[in-house]
Amino acid sequence: MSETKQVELTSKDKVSFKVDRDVILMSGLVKDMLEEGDEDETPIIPIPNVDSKPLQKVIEYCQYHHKEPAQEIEKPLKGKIEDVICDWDKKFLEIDQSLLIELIMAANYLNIKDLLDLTCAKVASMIKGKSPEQIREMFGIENDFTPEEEAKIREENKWCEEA
Amino acid sequence: MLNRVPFSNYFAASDFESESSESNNSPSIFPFLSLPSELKANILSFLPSNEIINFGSLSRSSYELVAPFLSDSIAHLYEDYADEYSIDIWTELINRVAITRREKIGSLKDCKNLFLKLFLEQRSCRMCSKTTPSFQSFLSRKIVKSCYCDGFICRKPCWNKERLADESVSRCSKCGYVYQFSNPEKIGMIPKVFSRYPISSQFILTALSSISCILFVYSLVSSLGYIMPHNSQSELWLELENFWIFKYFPFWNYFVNGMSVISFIIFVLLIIASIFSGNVNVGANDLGAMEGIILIITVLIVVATPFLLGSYVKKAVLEKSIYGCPVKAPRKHDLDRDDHHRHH
Repeated sequence: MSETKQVELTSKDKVSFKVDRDVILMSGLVKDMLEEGDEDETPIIPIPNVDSKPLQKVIEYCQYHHKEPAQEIEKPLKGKIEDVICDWDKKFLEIDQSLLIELIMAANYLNIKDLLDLTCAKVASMIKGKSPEQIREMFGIENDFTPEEEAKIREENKWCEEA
Repeated sequence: MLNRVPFSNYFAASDFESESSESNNSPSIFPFLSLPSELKANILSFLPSNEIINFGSLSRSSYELVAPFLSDSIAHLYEDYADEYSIDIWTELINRVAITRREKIGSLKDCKNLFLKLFLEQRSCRMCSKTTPSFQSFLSRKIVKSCYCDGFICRKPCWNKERLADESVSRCSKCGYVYQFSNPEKIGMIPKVFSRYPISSQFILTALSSISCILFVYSLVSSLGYIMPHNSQSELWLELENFWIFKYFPFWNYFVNGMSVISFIIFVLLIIASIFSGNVNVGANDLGAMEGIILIITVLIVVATPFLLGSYVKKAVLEKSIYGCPVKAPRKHDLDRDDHHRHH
C-alpha cells in the first residue's frame, strides 16, 4: 500500500506540521513552491510569516475542505454569515478576534481564496447592521472629519442611500 | 486572490503605520485597522452599498478606503437599473442629488445621461479639487488592458483618480501592472458627427461611413459610364470604372482597418449584385442602380450600427472606463494566468 506524500510546513515560531501534499495544495503559495522545488520525500516548506496557531487553523481548514469544497460566499452578504456557511465553518470561526485577523492575513499570504473569503465575510458580518458610532467603538476609529466635511459627505452619499 | 504581500511589508506600508499606532493604543479593540488596505477592502466587499457608505463616514482614512466602492455602487446602480427605472424614478433620483443647475430632461435617455454626468462630475477630488475630464476625453483615455485585481486598483493620494483612465495613473497600485491606454490622439480622426455615439461605435461608424463614401464615389464614377451618351469618350469611363477600385484598393484597406470582414462582405455584395444583374439580362443602366442599392444598404448599416451595438458598447465602455478594470471576481483562467505571470 502506497503512503500519501507529505509536506512539512515550518511556522514563524519554528513549529513543524506534517500535512498531506494533496491537502496543502489548496494553498496557491505552497502549490507554486512545490512545483518549483525538487520531488523530495517530504519537502520542508518554511512559512516565515505565519505563526503556528493560525497555521494550525489553516491546516485544519484545508484538511476539511480538501474533501468538502467550500461554497462560494455571495457578495454582498444577504444576511448573517451563519446563514450561508456550513456547520463546520461556523464551528471553525468560533475563535478570538486577534486569531481571526491572523487567519485573514495567513489566508491571503498562503493564497487560499476560500478561507480568505470566509474570514473576511465573518468580519463583514460583524460590521453589518452597526451604526457608525458602534463601528467606531468596535474598531477604535477616531472621527477626524471637520463638521463641514461630514456635511459634505452626507450630501454626497444622500442619493446612494436613497437608491 | 488579493495581491499577496509578505507580512514584513505590511508594516512598511504608510497607511498601516498610522493605523497600527492607533490600534496599539487600544489593545482591547478589534484589530481590524492592523489589516492592509487591500484586505480591508476585501472585507468591505461583502457589505451592501449602504453599509459601505456607513463605513466611509467613520474617518478620513475609511472614507478614502470606501471611495472605490462608492464608485462601484454608483456605476452598478447605473448598470443594474438603467433599463428598469422609469423616468419618474430617474427624475426623483436626480432631484435628490441636490442639483445646483437645472437641465432639461425630456426623456428617459436624458435622465440616464444626466445621471451619468452627475456621477462623473461628483468625482472631483477632495484633495486637489481636480474634476473628472469630460466624458469624451474620459472615454478616450480608457484602459484597454489591465490587470485582474479584484475591483480595487489605482489608488493614488488623490483618490478620485482611481480607475479613471487619467494619465497620472499608469499602473495598478496593488500589483504594479502597467496599464495600456487607448491612444487619445486617434480620437481626432473621428468625425464630429459621430461624437454623440459611444467611442467604440465611433470607430465602426467612421469605418462604415468611409466605405459608404468610397462606394458613393465609385458609383458616381461607374454610373457615368452608363449614363453618358455612347460616344468615343464612353470607353474612358468604363476603363475608369475598371481601374478605380483596384487602384485605390490599399487606400480602401487603410480606411477599413480593423473592419476588413465588413468591407469584404460589402465588396462581395457588390460583385454578387453585378453578377445578378448580368444573369437576368438587365440593361447596363440597371447595373448602376444595383450599385445604388448597395450604397443604400451600406448607409442602412451605418444607421443601424448604433442600435445594434448600443447596449453592448455602452456596457463595455462603462465597465472598462469607469471601473478601469474588471470589478467582478476574476475568472479562474484569469487567476491562473495571473499566477503564471507572477510565477515568472
